[in-house]
Amino acid sequence: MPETPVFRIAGLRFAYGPTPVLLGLDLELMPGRFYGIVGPNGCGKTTLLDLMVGTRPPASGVIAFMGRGLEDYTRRALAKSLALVPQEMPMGFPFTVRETVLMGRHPHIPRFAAPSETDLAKVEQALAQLELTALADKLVPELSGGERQRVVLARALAQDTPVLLMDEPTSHLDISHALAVLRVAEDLVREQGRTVVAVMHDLNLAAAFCDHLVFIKQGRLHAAGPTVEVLQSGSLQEVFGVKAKVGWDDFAGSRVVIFQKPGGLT
Amino acid sequence: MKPSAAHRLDARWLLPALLLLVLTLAVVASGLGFIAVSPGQVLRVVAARLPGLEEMARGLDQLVPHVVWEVRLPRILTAAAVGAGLAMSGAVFQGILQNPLADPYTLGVSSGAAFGASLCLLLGLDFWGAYSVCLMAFLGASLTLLAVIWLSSVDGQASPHNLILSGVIVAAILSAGIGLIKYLADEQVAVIIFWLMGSLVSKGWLDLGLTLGAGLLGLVVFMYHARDLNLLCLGARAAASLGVQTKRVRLTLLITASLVSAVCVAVSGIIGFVGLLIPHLMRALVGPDHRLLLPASACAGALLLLGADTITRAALPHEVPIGVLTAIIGGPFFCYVFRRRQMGRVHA
Repeated sequence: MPETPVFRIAGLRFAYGPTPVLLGLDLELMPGRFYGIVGPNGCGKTTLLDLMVGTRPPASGVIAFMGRGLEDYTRRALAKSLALVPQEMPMGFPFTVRETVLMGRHPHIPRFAAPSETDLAKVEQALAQLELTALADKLVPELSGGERQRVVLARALAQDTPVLLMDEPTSHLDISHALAVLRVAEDLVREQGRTVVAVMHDLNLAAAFCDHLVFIKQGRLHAAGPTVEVLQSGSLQEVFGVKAKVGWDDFAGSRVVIFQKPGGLT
Repeated sequence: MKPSAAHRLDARWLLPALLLLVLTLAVVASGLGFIAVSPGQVLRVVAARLPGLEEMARGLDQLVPHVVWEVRLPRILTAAAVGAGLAMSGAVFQGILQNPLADPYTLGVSSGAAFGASLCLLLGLDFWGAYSVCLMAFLGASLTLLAVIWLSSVDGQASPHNLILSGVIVAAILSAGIGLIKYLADEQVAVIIFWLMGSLVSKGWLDLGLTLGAGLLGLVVFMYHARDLNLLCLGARAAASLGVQTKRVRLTLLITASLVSAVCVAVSGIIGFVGLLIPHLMRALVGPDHRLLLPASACAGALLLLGADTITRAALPHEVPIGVLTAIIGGPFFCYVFRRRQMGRVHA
């Protein structure tokens, strides 16, 4: 029997009022892989994640999660299997880092119950994985942008779901923390068999960590497949309209992308 | 030094302490005024109302039970209930709107109530005796809320940003309407202005029943959703992905909080700053977790308004409208807290 895809998306359409964003997108994501979603600004990546996590209903098309229609899940049931790391993190309220990460356990804790030993242990584990243990009692509004982004990631780790969606998880991080965070995500996939789907802007980070890439252009799937096959200078030219050289690098241990300034060499 | 959770007070003793303070102040305040009554006598008057304890009032001047039970207690308890309702709904509004500067009046609820009341006073409507103004204020507040929700709802989602903007627009239109009513009112204008400044004068047991009923209903709804409200503070997207029915929860809380504040405004007129200041202070004391913040705000709001009402009623030579007093005390105090917090952030 073939493996059930984590996500099976067919003919997905969505528009904000009169502005179409997704124009019939088809995509299949298999379990145990680290997917990178790449594409130019405004191509519908964040909208796609919104639809995949069920916070917006599609205009038309089908999204099946683990073999069942997304609309058949209750919010709570879905939250036990699927976590989202959103891009924005409004934090006007002085919760501590630990309190915020504990909120990741929300779907696992009954409404009027106190967190169990397991819940608290998962929180400590997530804090340790993202090197936040020393900051655990700090208030989130006092943290730097990068520290906050790690808090949001830790919250998703504490949610302990087989599938994680991430919207540009490293956009506020310096290179050292970006590498560390993606390493944590990679371990979730390699060692625990989870599925990670991350919208990525940095193509070199995507090349280094994602085993599969999904190229989206103007609301449609442009190409999808193993990184070694689809990350080519031709596809970068077609999707982003940039001149790039792509090749294997032994030092990086992955494919690397080098860009040329627009207008060529001067 | 950077702020951390270590600076928070332990809610296990703060909540009972606040509750005890409210009750003590209510008893003491019932004794203050033109006719002084000792706290012991106040307790005897209250006890005499209980079945089997009627003889507790024996030996008291017969004026004392009347002043305490019929005049002061309903007003004092109404003040406490209004304070609790405003503070609680303020905390809820700040949470749903993800804006620590929101208050029960941000969405135009107060302007709607004021418009309804002014209209009632202008036209001299009198279909429910003294409570006609109250009912019209409540109607005005409810209709305003519906208009604001309708204005801000695009594709079924009323975003915090849209809600605040719609609230401001609707409030501005209603303010102009109130201005017109005042202009048309001639000699009635004083009555309207006095109502708008807020007052707890001559509140009876029915006022208390209305406010307390709305407040308790609100407390139950708010506490049921307290954890969802915590998650909404992380943003709607995050809350939804953590299993919160964001749309339903937000609408339920929005309507409940508006009804609670509408009842408070309808009973007592416009009393500002309680709903803004108290949740702020309590958040600094017990932290932002709504499971603690809401009951703590309710107690502190009750304490503040009860205290302010006692000052205007018993301590000042002339009774000052309570809405004016809370703004005069609360405004500068809020500026102080706000400024200190900004400075703290710069030096942190």
